[in-house]
Amino acid sequence: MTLPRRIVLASFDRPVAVLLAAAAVTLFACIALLGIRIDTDPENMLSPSQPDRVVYDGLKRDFGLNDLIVVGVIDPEGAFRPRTLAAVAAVIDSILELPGVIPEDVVSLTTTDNPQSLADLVDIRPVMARIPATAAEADSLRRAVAGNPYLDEVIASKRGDALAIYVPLVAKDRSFAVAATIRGLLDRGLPDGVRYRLAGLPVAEDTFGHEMFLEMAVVAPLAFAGILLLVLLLFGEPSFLVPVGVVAALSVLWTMGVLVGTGFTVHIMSSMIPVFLLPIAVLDSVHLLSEFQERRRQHGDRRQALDASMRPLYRPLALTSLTSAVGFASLGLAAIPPVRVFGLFVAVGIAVAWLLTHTLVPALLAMLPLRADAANRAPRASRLAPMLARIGSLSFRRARTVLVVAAVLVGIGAIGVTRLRSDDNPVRWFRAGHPMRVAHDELNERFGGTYMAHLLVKGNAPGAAQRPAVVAWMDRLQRRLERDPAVGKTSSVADILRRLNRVLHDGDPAYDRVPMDSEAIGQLLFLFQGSGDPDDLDDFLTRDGDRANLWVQLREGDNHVMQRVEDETARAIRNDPAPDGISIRWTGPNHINLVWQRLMVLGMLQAILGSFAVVFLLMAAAFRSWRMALLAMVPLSVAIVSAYGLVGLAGHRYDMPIAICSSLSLGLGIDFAIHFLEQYRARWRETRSLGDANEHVFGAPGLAITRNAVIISLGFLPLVVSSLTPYVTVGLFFAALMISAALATLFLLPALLRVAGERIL
Amino acid sequence: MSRIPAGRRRVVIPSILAAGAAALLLAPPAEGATPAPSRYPSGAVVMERCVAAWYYPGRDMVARLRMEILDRGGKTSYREMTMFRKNMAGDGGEQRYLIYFHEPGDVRRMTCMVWKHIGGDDERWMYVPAIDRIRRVAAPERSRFLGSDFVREEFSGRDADADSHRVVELVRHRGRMCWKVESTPRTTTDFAHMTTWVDTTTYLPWTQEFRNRRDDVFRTFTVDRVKEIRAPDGRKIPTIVDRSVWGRDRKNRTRLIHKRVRYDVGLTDDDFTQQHLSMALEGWYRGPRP
Repeated sequence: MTLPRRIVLASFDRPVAVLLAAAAVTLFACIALLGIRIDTDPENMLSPSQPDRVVYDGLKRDFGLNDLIVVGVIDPEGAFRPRTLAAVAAVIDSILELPGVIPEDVVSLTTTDNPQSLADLVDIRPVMARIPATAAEADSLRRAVAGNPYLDEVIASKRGDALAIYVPLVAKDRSFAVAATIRGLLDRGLPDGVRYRLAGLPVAEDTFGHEMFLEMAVVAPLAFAGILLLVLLLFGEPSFLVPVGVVAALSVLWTMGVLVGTGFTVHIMSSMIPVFLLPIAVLDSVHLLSEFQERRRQHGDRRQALDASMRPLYRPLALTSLTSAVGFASLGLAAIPPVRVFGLFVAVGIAVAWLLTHTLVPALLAMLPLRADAANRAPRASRLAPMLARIGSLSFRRARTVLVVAAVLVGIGAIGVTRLRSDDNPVRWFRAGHPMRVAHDELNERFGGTYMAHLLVKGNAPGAAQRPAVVAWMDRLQRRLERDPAVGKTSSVADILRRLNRVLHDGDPAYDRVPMDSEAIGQLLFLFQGSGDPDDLDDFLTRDGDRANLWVQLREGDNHVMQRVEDETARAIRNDPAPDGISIRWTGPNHINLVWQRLMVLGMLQAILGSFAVVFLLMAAAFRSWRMALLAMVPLSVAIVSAYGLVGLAGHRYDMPIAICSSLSLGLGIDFAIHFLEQYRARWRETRSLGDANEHVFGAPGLAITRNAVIISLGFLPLVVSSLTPYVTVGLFFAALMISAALATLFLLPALLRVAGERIL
Repeated sequence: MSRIPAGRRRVVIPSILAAGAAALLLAPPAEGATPAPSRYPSGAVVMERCVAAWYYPGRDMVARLRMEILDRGGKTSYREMTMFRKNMAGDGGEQRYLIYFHEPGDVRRMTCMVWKHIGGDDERWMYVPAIDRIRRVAAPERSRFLGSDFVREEFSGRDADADSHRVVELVRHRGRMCWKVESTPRTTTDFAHMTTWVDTTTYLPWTQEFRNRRDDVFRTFTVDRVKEIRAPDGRKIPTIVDRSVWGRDRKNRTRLIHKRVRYDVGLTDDDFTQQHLSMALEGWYRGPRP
């Protein structure tokens, strides 16, 4: 007797012991789960030593820059009215006191300096040193802001209907909490008719993190309920809900318990482990129950029925679990730490699901009341059965037609695949119409942009970055960058120098340019430091002048926009090379997103190709035949090409959620083919008849495959109602993948075997 | 970094050991009882004497200063300057300042003049040689001084009555007996609370901590060396010759070293004029070189 069989029968014979053991492990898992730590920062997609992250950390340190929340206050009747200004000033004062905020770096009406010239007086004071008392004063303030290109569209909108406050945070993971407090301040502090919006990547990302966990609590149970409902409909056996539900729930609980217990944080990626484990766990138990229900019609005795139904399943269950686990474990080689964690723990979950299917399910089958003793009932064919038989005979008889149609479909899918464009934007992880999306749209329409990137201009010696040639070059580069419609605003030390030069020359517009001698630059900067808030300068130039920061605000946050801006910069620099000794490097939140997207897309692709090869080798070893292995890979490949082709044809971007899904395609895609081929070959070896083997697999095994396809593709559809697009994507993608994998298995394999079966089997 | 914590540790050694004569004189309050403020001098008096000892010694002063700025990225830059000061009235009264920059090269000959007024905004002028212009500059009192971590007031002195003061205890602080004075500004400014440890002998400060409304220390002022400078009349004037302002978490620091200090060199009102502002130092100053 094989080991799995011994385990199954022993579990059936001692159900109480199995249940108690499972309960004990579950208790431990739940205790471990209490120590959960959540990490919603996409930056952690990169390991802390990743070069781009090191550069960004250096930039933050050297220039005292931090991740920002952008607060926009919109007054449709014009924000430059004493009442609105007073309210905003009071809110700014309160924001400066909030824990988690870096008060000295807040950019706003009352905290940022506006150098102005009045006769022989250089007046460097905050833009709004005093709250205007009259409409006329307020209006002159509006004109003062509009007149300073460095402030226009940064702290106030062009139309003057909105004001912005840039709130730097000590740490990004504080943004959700700080944003909530700021919302409270604004709710209380703003006059009627004045509305506000909060934007910026940190808020979007942190909000996503929080909503994700909320949605997890709503959507995952919803999907779970959907699955159970389908199990009930397809099996007509209420008691089957227990094994399916318990296996799925415990696989998730145990896996997450191990993950949390071993000290890993639950990151955006690992938070999706439950959603990915659910279908896999369900697959195993549905295969078993499907067989079991059929066998019970033949054997009255449960133990006998279980034994009989498990026999043809041991190998496929082990194989599918092994291949899926290997597929996911291969992600452990990816360059992205959260992807590694995700892959390894899904693999752990798959092992758990396999174990539970062999222990807990038999134990439960021993104890649960099963509807009407099957022995007394006439064998009742499922409504699916006749349809399956028709499919079986159709694809067998019209093998060549099926193959041609499949080839055409794969061709179309391939076209779709070539159309795939990788792109991402954390703000788009919210559904259109979500307050977060609205806030970004409204603020980007009015201001220079809520998406931040930085061009680090690095000199080779102290003072190198403030040489006239360098500052003038930065100025030209800025003008060139601002031609891109997505670039709202650029700021650098060049803007400060142009402003000061003009102010010192009594406001003469002819001096609105970068001074061309280095002493003048040194002295103007010295004057600015000596008069205003040096933090304003520190944000753009290191104190020893060896490096400068060119701040680029973008109105659009898609990675392809960032890519375009970076490409344009590279082109501009080819035509107008950086002065000697100057090197540049992109950084900032939007650049970081671009980097991890690149790593993720490439990393996932490599991981998939790698596990594709591994699965192929495993198949070859299991079937002891290269040809069988090749055949087993067919439905999977067709399913992947069609699912991704569909994504491409629908014009959907290849983003983080889609990339994660790709890892699942392998595990789920191979499942049906293994079950199909195992049983087909076993039958063929008995009867040596392709027709008979075909008819056999379209019986119980085909039924299990179809049930699984239906359960998983429909069961995850509740995800589609989520307000977070990654869940929507996962829901749709599961359906597309399962349906195409099932169709490819049920149509393509019989046809292929008909044509080439004699040589392959 | 190491100096202050070491000092703080010493504070733990209670007043029994530390207070010495001062403790005998002032009879420390009984265990558990709230210290009676009346036993201590008034905070206003301590701070007035502190400002006088700090910013007003001598009739006038010339000093050669070196400023070292350590930025948040760990890099240092420096400035060299000569500072002139003249008291127009007694302690706590009007003053005039003139600061000539020598280094770094690009700011050579930049000059800054301050007429310190009591009860009104100070007047400031700046000479920018590259464009050969003198500009009057208006900026808030507590804006930072020349890109350093010092604020303007820490060059020319904060009026003692800008805050209300209270002596909270007599402690041994960094090895000296100090009055610990808690101050609260009378009008809103960048800090909400200030704690000053004032030497009971010289009345010079040793440490000043600035806290925001959340009660976090966001900047710290420390005096690291006091030297007695002999005035022409033979008086020895305890003078701060090494002081620093530290930023939040002590990540950035500006250190100001008085390389040479001379008192009572005989500066006149005429030395503090716009004319001298734009002239080379050698062109008008004939007094003893600092």
